Amino acid sequence: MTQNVLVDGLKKLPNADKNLLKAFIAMAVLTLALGVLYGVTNAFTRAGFIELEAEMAYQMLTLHGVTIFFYWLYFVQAALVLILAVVYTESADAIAWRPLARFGFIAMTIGFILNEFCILNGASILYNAPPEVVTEDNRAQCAYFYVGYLLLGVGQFLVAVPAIYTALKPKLEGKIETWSAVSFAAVAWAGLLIVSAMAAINIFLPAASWAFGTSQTVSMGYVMGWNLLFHNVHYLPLMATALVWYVLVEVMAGVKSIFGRRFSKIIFASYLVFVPPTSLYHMFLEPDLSEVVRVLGSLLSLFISVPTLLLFMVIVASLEVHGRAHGGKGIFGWIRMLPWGNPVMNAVGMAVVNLAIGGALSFVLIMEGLAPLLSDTFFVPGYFHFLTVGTVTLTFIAALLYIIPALSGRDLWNPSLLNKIPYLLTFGLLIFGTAGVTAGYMGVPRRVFDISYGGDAPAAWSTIMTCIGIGAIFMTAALAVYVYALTATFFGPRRSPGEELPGLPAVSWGGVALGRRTAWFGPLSVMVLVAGMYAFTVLGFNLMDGLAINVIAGGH
Amino acid sequence: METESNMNGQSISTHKGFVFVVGLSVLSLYLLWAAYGHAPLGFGSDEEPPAGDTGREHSEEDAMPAMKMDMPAMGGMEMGGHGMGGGMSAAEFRRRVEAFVKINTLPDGSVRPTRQGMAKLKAMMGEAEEAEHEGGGEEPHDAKPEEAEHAPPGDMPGMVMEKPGGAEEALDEEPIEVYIAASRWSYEPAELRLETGVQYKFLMMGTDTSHGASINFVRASHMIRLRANALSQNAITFTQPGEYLFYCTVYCGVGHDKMFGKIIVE
Repeated sequence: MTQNVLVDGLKKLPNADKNLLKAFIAMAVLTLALGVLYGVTNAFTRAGFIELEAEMAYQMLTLHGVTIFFYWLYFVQAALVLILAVVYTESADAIAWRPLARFGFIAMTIGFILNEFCILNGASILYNAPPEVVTEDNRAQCAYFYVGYLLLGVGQFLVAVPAIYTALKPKLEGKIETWSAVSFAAVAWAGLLIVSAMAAINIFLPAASWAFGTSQTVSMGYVMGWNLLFHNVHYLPLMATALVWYVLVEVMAGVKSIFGRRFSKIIFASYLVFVPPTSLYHMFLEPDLSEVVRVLGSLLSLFISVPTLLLFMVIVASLEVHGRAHGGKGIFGWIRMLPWGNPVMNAVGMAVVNLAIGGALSFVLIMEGLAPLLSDTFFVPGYFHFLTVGTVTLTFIAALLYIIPALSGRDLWNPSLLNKIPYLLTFGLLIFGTAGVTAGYMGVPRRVFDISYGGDAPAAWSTIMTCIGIGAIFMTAALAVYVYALTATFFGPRRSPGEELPGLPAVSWGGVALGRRTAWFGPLSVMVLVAGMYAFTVLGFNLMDGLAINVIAGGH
Repeated sequence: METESNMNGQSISTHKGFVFVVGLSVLSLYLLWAAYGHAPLGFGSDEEPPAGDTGREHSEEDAMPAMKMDMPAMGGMEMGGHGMGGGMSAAEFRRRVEAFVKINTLPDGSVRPTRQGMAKLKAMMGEAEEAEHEGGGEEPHDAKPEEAEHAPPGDMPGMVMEKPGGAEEALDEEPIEVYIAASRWSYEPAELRLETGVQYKFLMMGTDTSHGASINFVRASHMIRLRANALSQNAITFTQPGEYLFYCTVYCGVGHDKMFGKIIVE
């Protein structure tokens, strides 16, 4: 508690900044709640617990993807990038160019309303919104749907620019010489947000123009443009997650990197190097992708996890070395000494576990030879929920458990219950994800609600999808508690002026003689992760080789 | 997490170089790919890769570059059912599919492609194209190069049946063509009867929008995407008899769930 730079920094912000950040967080929590509601409806429909007409089911699927993937993740990122830029940049006492960020908030909010309204009125074209599924009947709704996405992109841009300038301003004014690693990372993150905003405008502007009828055709370049955009927008939250871990570990344990800020900066910068070029693996099933691109895509994809693994090892090694200096024995002893009475610690701990599971699974998809086995199957939602929900969402919620009380001046709602929620969420994810991945290996398609296919589908398909619904129950329960906790903390009773919030449990491991620096937990974890990647890849290859079919180069 | 420098000793586990190397350990997955003959640069494959190919097999990706049949890159495609600007148009493809179904339909309604049927289809299509030429119609730009490839030198497309001896033998070695048109929200034909051990060349197209034509083998599936108005070819040999579901795996609208067919392999 003594070294809570984050909380202390937030408290010092001017009210105008606090209000802006609260607005972003309020929208984030709202979109999270709605996204979860839509999500559980999808899961229950797929499990056969409820029945929806096809149109309604696809509407729900579109709402889920749009609301949770774009709006929850981008509202919360907007808040976080501004917070980290202003709190962790020395001499930055307020968000610079605040009006721009306000316009960003307005643009994103209007975009959200527009997207939801259009989907509810017939634009059920899924969150990737390919123009080719737009029909004459819903073309007008789809046109405004694309405008919603454009506003989101514009809003993202208008938030990222003030974040960068907030960090840059003290440097330009000569108040500081170098950024902290967190400030540097926040700027890199904001830079990627701007790149993604540009990519969004690049594909959605022509699509909107076509849908409004101002241009006659829309290029099939949309597919490639979408894949490039999608790749960035789903790695951005992952980069942000690693950065938030970096911040929270210091908040909870007072630990600083044993490798130095320069090494951390290099790793954060490496996201910019590794993320954009590795997008090719999303296109492995595209019929007209050249062989060169396929080869390049597989090779580059191997590098995608490198920055996150490096950052993970920096954080874990720093903790382990400090934990050992405080009496932790062996490779695991220091883990027991972490502040497990803190709900943020539990959330971050489970987020790491979920990242390992999701990461091991995801590496099956970067192999183009396995794309025909798993792409477009339920394997994809099966594995990515470990990442989007179990890792990214859980981490962002963990950050909000510190941020909301600091901004609102209210106690965190029921910390002892919140200690248990990450385990409930992970339990649900394990059911959902295991069933989803199994379903994927068996060929159950994603984005199909009635998988009976007139009785021709394997009977096991519907059984396995029942497990999806069961897993979703636990996931939803956990996320509902979080939504309630965040909301209750927002609107709970305020402490009287001058009265300090009790804060959350923490340990203070910093500022001690470290002794011999030994840290094997990180490398060991990475080895386990790689072993998992090997196992899932072997399973994929064996299944593929066992198919009663040979598909070979032919036709000539 | 800023720097702290009050350290007295260091094991290799906290060396930056070691951390960096461990971070790159994921790259070792390449060796596993190679062990299964799927390494992108061809290492580990037993076969000599053909020029321009990486020597991989059991993947339709290998076939994909050859599938293009002079189709333009995606950037050249247009939406809304407009023409492709090259290769076989959706209308031409649909004509072929209609003829293919007409020639090969069995009394039970299923379609059994045969070499005889294939030759008949080629003859029909050749005649139709000839008629188009004579009528001063649009220059045909369908699967001619491919047909020319199938036909002996000097032969005309559509005349294969009339060729004696050697040409028929050559025809026997060809994969049997199977045409499938995917459109909202059905396949044409929706039920196929095929044989084990025979190589078929699946010629497929989403004739209105993108679709999937993935095949399920109970334990797993083989996923195939069809892009709108782009001809896709897969040379497929079924190794075990059975009834296999094929189904759309690319969202194509609210009737997406209803899009499926059956392949009966005998």
